[in-house]
Amino acid sequence: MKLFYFEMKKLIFNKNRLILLAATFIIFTLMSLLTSSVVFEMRSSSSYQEYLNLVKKYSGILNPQQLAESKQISETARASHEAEYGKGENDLFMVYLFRNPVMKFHYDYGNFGKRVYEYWHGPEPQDKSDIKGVYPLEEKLEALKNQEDSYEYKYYQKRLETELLYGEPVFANKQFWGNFFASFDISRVVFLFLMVLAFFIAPVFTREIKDDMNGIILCSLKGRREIVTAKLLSVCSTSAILTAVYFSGNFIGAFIANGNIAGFDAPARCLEAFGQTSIDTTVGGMALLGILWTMLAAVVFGLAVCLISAWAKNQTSVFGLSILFILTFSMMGFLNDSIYEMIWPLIDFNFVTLSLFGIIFGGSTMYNFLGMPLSYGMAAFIVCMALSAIAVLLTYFAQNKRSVV
Amino acid sequence: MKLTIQNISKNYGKKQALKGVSFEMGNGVYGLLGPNGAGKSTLIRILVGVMEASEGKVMVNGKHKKPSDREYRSKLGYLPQSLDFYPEFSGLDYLRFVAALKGLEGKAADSRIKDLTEQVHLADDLNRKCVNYSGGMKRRLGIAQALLNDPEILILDEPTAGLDPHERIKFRNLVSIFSRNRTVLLSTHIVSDIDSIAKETVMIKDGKVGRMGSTQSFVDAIAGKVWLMKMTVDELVEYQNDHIISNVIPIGDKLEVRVVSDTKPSVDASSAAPTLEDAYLYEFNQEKGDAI
Repeated sequence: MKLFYFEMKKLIFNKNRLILLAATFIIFTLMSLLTSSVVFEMRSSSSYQEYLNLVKKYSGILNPQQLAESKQISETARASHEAEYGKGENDLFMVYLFRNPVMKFHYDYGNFGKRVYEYWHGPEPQDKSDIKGVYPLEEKLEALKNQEDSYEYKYYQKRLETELLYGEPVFANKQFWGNFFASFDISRVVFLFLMVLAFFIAPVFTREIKDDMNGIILCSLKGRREIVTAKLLSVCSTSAILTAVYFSGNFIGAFIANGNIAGFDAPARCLEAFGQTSIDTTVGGMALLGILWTMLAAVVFGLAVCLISAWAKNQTSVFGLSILFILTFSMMGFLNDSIYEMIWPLIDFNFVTLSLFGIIFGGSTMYNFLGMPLSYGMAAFIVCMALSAIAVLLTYFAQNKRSVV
Repeated sequence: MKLTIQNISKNYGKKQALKGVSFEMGNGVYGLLGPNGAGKSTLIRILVGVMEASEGKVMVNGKHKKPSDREYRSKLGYLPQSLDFYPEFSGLDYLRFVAALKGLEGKAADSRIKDLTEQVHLADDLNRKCVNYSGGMKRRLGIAQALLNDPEILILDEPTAGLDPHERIKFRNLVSIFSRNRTVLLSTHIVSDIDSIAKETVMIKDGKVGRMGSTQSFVDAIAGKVWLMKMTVDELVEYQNDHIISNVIPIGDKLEVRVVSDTKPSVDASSAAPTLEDAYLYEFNQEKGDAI
């Protein structure tokens, strides 16, 4: 316990690191505030109260009459905007919507209607390799009627069960949560979170070389095993603390912009990124789960950086190698399908992908595990545990083999 | 306690840093003398288990000890040649950290820290950050950490570097008292650190043990080979190229030069009582034929 205390002091609980942590917290908050800033315009609009009333009135299941009205209003507005600014100016149109909250409501309700349609009929065009929508799923299962033991049948049956269990999407005010969930986007996770985490963890072992402490540590009673346990625990704790700071900053930034956390008790499927999720929870529950998952992914990544630190000679090489891994993995998402087919485990389960909660838990991806459909979330959890175990064992091994040259 | 070094060799690629080093130590202070690059630090690192020998073994009371052996590590105290400190730690933090590494915690650790810091005169500076310590204070802190677990085997690599004469004498006394029931190996360039307290001195050169014996035996070995003679500065410049000179003292307009030589260097040279420093210079110049 004493060793853990001192390792925490070296890694994070010292003046320089705490100043750095406070600075990163401010950056996280400002980034969140900046990306949510358009909400300020919406809130200052004279029709904002009307918008809130409309959202409140139509929260819940789809109202077909309102859908028809909203579609007509939003399509007219879109056509008029395109006539003025040209097609493809989507960002400009979004700004226009935030300046006209009532119009935003109609636009959102139109999109909501589209999602309800897709819930029953699937997207257009339909991806034949991954059928979506209740009716297409029923048709697919009918076509596979004589292959009930096949993986494909079990997969679609499970998908249909999930869809029917959750029912069609509902409409809710989730503006704050839309802003908050942006903190799970790849660009923010990679550049604002994983890179900062790598910087914090990188010196965990290399600083003993820098400070000429290796000799004293290695020849002491607890210098080969217990010190590693203390360092690993400090890495896990630092990863968890940094995750908490990251999401606190994002939460506060989004809250300052929105002024409320409305929608926390709406079904998680209200969020577009989680429209296919198989987790039965609320938006607030999903956010909490997302934070916990990111914490786990951060711990796994932190342990990997710790392992590199245990084998490397200086902090710069550890940080450089970690950044190289992060950037390489984050670019893997852009590889084409034929390459994906060859290296899909590396793409689906690398450190960056594992940190993207929305990718893992937002969709309906499943894996064929011994003929049974295994959800992406469960598979990712198993991979996280395996990677952590490997990193921990190799770190102990590295310290046991370490020598002073 | 009997610490045996048996046929230790260490290779760095093609370079052989240690070549079958063997000697044995009991209780008391043992000096390890040798020039830079002789292999002293390599031997010490192997002894404390932070480096693996290419060949040979270290035995304690006749039993082979591997670096991973916890019991062996629990008996060790080690002060490396170069030692830096965590900038965010105070002296007290640092000693508590090392105490925890050595399995000492709570009141036992604090009591030991108090005793040791009083002995090394750091008690009043314990709450200051280590990085703000002077060179001598850092060295004294290093000595204190080595003694924290009351080790049976204490290995010190250049322990007095940076200490002032008063601190060096204090340190010598501390080590001398400490070594009564323990084994202390003290590697140094400063011959005076060990000549009065070392039970035996090991002279190591080119990765091999040159000679091992008591201070008196080294001194006896060069009896009649140390001379005092007077010369001018110009004569000394010429003379030192092919003679071992261990000391020079200005007397009036001339210099009194202390020469180590097998034969009487000049008719007016007078014999002097040898010291361990003379023996060291003689030992390390005998084979190489270099002049000092």
